[in-house]
Amino acid sequence: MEAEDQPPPLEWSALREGIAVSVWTSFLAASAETMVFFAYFDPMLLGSDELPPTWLALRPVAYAAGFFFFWAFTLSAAALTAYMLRSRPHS
Amino acid sequence: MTAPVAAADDSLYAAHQKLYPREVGGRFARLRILAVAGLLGVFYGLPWVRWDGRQAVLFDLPARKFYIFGLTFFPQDFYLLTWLLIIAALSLFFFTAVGGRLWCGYACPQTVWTEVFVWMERLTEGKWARRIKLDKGPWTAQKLLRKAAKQILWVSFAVFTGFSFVGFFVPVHELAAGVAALKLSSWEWYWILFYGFATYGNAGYLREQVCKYMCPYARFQSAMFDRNTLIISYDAQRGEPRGSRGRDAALRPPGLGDCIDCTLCVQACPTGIDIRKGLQYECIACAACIDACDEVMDKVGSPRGLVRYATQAEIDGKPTRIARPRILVYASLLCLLVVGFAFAVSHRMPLDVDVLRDRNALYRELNDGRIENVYSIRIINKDQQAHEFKLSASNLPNAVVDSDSPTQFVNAEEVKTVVARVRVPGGQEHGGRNFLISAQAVDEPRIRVTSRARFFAEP
Repeated sequence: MEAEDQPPPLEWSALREGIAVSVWTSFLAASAETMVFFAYFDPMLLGSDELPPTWLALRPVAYAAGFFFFWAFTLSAAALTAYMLRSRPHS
Repeated sequence: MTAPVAAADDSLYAAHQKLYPREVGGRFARLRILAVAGLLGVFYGLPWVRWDGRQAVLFDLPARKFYIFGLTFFPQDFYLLTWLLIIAALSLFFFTAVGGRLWCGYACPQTVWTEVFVWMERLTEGKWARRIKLDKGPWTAQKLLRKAAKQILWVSFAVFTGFSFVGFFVPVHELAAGVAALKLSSWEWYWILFYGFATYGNAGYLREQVCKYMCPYARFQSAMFDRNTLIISYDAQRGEPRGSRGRDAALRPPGLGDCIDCTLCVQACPTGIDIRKGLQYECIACAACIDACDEVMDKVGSPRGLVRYATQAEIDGKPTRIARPRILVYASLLCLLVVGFAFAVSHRMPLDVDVLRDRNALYRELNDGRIENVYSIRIINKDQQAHEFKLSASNLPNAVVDSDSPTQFVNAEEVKTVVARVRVPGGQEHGGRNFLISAQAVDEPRIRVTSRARFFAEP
């Protein structure tokens, strides 16, 4: 017997699940990438060269920009994976 | 483990059934409240703790220095962080193998913050049945008032959470002064709101859906389980066949087991499962069903423990083995790593040296015939006190290291870049050769670090 006053929860739609999982796993990966990358690379070094964008030589700006850069790319990989896995034509 | 079935409506905005877990009190609820209070106390309190005249725990990203009580860590110590993460992961494996999903039920931030948000919800919107009625009912002034009060509590708590989080990265006294004067950099505002919003969304709305759909640990934890792992179990042998009782609950109709099918365990479950169907991957081992069932068993006069923490072996009437190969392997690896970590931290060399070759010239011949190479040497003094460092070369015969002064003074926790010229007699070297550059504290010869470099001369 099911509890009458509390119907079982509906499952998430595949689209919603795909988006949520992609955003979350890519967030985790991007956080780790940011830590590793900036542990070995000091954005201040960009200030000593003429060529690269000097606005990136500010550490807080570079950390944030790096994080979102990584997140954008990991998100694209995760979203593509989610899409590929569920769009496979069934034979 | 079955994959969640996609709902027929594939829209992002398809309504998701909101869960209204029934509140229960009991031993495990009290244990969780204790864990919540302890963990949140550490999270909100730690930024305010002082140590040696500065914030005890501060991850100063702009300065690239991490302060943890008496210790200061530099990016060069990154391997220690990796080490620590491995220890954390292995502890998770160990505790999962022994006690099941203890992490999920008592320590996961998702559980901890959800507990607080649910408490605020109960404070403003009332208990379980009342909340369901309120949500179903029309928008009255009272509903508006209750919902508004909840949002005010939630939002302010979430923003305070974001503030405390940023307080681990920006000195919290400065941050507080900045918030009070509305003078913070846009990045500080941004991260406070970002973390606050994540807390609000995860603990206020997503709740069990995070565990169900988004948590990787929930999917792989079963790999650490075996028949001797503590899980939340329903004792089917005792409970079945289940059946409701009449008005006098203590009167058991013949042939029925202990389960009176009151479904309180289902109503209390924050992930909406029925534990009587056996262990499911949605179960976060919060033990709310145990508390609910114990209360009922007390009322009908049956012994507690129809739903209880037990191993599969115990339920099957076999002895439970705690010391088994899996546990021993996890435990000994964990011990090894922890001891190694403690040793590495306590014996950490408070000095680092980076050697970079001068980019302009490979080598230079001096007037007296000697060959000179120029290097830029970064001396990173990680110690809490200043030192004089002497530079020297080895593995390169007759080499002389020359810089602006015979020793280099580097302040506590400072980084100094020194230009050093390394000279050897003419004709001695041909082509390239690897050698070593060392820095050694004059006052404390124990502090000595060697770095590899390459010397070039005429082919």
